[in-house]
Amino acid sequence: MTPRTTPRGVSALARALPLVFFALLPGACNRESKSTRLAADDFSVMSSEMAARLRASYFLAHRGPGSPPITVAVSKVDHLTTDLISDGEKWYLMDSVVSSEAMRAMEQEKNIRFVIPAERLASLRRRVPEASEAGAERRPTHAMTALIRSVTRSAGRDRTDLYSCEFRITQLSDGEQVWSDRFEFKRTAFGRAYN
Amino acid sequence: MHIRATRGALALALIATVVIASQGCNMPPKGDSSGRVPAGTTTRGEAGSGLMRTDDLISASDRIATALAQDIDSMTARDFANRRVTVTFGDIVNKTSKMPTTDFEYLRDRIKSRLMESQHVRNNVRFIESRARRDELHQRELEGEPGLTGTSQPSVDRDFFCFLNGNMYSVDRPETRLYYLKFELMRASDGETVFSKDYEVKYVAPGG
Repeated sequence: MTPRTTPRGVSALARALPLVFFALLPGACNRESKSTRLAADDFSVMSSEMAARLRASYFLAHRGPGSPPITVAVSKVDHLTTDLISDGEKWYLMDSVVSSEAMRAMEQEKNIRFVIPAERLASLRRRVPEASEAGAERRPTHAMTALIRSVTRSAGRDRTDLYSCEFRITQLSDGEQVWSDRFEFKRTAFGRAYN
Repeated sequence: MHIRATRGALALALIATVVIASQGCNMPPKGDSSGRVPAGTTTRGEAGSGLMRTDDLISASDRIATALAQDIDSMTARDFANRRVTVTFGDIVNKTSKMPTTDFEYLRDRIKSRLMESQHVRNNVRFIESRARRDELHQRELEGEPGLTGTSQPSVDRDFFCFLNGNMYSVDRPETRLYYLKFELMRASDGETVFSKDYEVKYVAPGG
């Protein structure tokens, strides 16, 4: 014999269902991001993507171990976004590109080397008396810089930020940009957002 | 009688649940699990903002870069005796009512990046940093280096030197907003416009 739901059970279920739904609804909707701020994962993805792109770039494509040496000085990322990005985050993004395996391999394969940033060298010389002559042979030929921009759009409680991170290498002798590439994505948020 | 009424209430509750669930959590696109949304996606925040959609900024930069790449041979032959042209960023005149100038700076950066992807363009055009930026880099990286102090920036031949300038306008009417963008290359020596390409987009929406 098939068990049957009693009329009382069905009635209770009918009353409970909307209550259960309304109890779960705010939780489900709250999973939507309330901020378009750059996430930690964005920094990791940007750095690994840019390292891969630089390795495959036209700038390095025709270089080999016997090419004239290139010495690249890096600096922290410039940012023109509405985000608050700390100095550590700016350095993290640049350092993680330079320190990536893809870039380390470039030193031998493409005769390109990265040297200590000018800002760090100045700090080292200032703090450590023994290092006052450090970096005397640094002599960068190129500078690698990066710029993060954002384009913000909002309507009502919907907000979208388009982030664009551009890396470029500039020849210091004449200011020519010898390589430039960018990584772009959006973040959306809904609700009362506090970025 | 009581069972029929209860079943009716249950069906009503189910329908209400489905309807509310579909309307109440009508979320904007969330992209993949990381929360990133591809740059080419139009979101609700953009569609109702009254400003140029980022997709149109991307589309404008693509079209202008493509037009310049296509015109590069005739331009260098006609105006620069087939010599490589040096380009730097010039001025952006933003005469729109609402768009921030930083959005157009993004557009200009993107035009440059797209152009630099082309070997053909790189053979004919080189981009250099602005004078202020060159001086900043020079001072930061080379000042104080033994044997390099005082190295001056090389001068650029102004007959083969161009500024990439932009002009942006908008026409605002109830429920309609039109944006007009134009980028041009201006030769430094005589101010002649050697390349120009525009982009126009109009949005029609209740409330503008």
